[in-house]
Amino acid sequence: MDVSSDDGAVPHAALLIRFTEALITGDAAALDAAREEIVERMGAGALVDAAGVAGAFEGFTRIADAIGIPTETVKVEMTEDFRAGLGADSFTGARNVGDAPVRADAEAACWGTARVK
Amino acid sequence: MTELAYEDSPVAVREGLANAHRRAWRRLAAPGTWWSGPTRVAVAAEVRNAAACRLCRGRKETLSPYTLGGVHDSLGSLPESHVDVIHRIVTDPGRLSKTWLDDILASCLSDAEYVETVGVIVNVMAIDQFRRGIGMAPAPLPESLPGEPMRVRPRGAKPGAAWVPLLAPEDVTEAEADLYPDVPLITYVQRALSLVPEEARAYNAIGCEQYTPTGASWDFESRVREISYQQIELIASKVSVLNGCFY
Repeated sequence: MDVSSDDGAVPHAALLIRFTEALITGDAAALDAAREEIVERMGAGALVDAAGVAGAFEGFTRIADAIGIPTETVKVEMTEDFRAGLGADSFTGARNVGDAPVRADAEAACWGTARVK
Repeated sequence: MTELAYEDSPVAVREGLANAHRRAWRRLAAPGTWWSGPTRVAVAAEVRNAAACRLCRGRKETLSPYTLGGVHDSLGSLPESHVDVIHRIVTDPGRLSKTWLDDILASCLSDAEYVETVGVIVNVMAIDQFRRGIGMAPAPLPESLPGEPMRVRPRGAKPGAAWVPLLAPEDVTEAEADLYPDVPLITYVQRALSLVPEEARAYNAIGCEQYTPTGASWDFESRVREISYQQIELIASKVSVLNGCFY
């Protein structure tokens, strides 16, 4: 696999971040370049899926912030180690946190690897 | 009827994904739960128009987006208050506030009309951005279909957890029985559009194709797409940060 040194633990991380940034900020030239590079290094199917996820989260983020849903405490705990580095703790939505809505008759639920309740 | 097409796509688009987009485009044109077809298509057009709005650009530069007044550069098909809702959600979603929404709900939109507006916005943005991502222009908007909206509100929706009432899994009736999977935890984002169940179903269908299918595991070593789970979450996190979204 063709992985550059700035990718860290995630293959092609730097390229995928460049692609996402160009798409969301509307930088057409950077988007063209990143798109071409993804197809070349990762394949056309990867481009479809990367564009799909970026598009989906344009929606998910607006759903969360327009509806004012709380962020589940378990999610806040799970992301504590890297949130500050992203600057996310200063976002307006950081003040809106609530317990995960586990079904009343459930003993516990799983959120990723975490157990809730 | 303008069909959304992928025949000219520079890369092959999965059939399930293309079908989900075609269904979303047909829904966009048709009467919804609270808005008519023409209003839904007008909302979609205003979503695209927001990027060029000078007032929105000015507000992005201010410390608080609520201090700068003025009139939006709009297409003129919707009331200014509705345009303001659309433009703010599109251009500055991370700084929306409950106080702002309470004013909207007290003066110009019902809570359900607001939720349906959000539903139209997110469908259009998800599809437009996907197409830009693969190197295609946004699809022409569909021609609206005649007919009346259904105007049906889920009886079990309750205020409390979010800025608008949500329908909890334990409160669904037969009409919404398909809304949630039978699992102990339904996250808030899954419930967010539930005041208008049709919008919740519609975005769930988009999410299943563009993000991960319902029930996909959290196993970061697994692969449900051509990119890995880690790569998927990396992109998702980057979009969230760029949009100022804590959730």
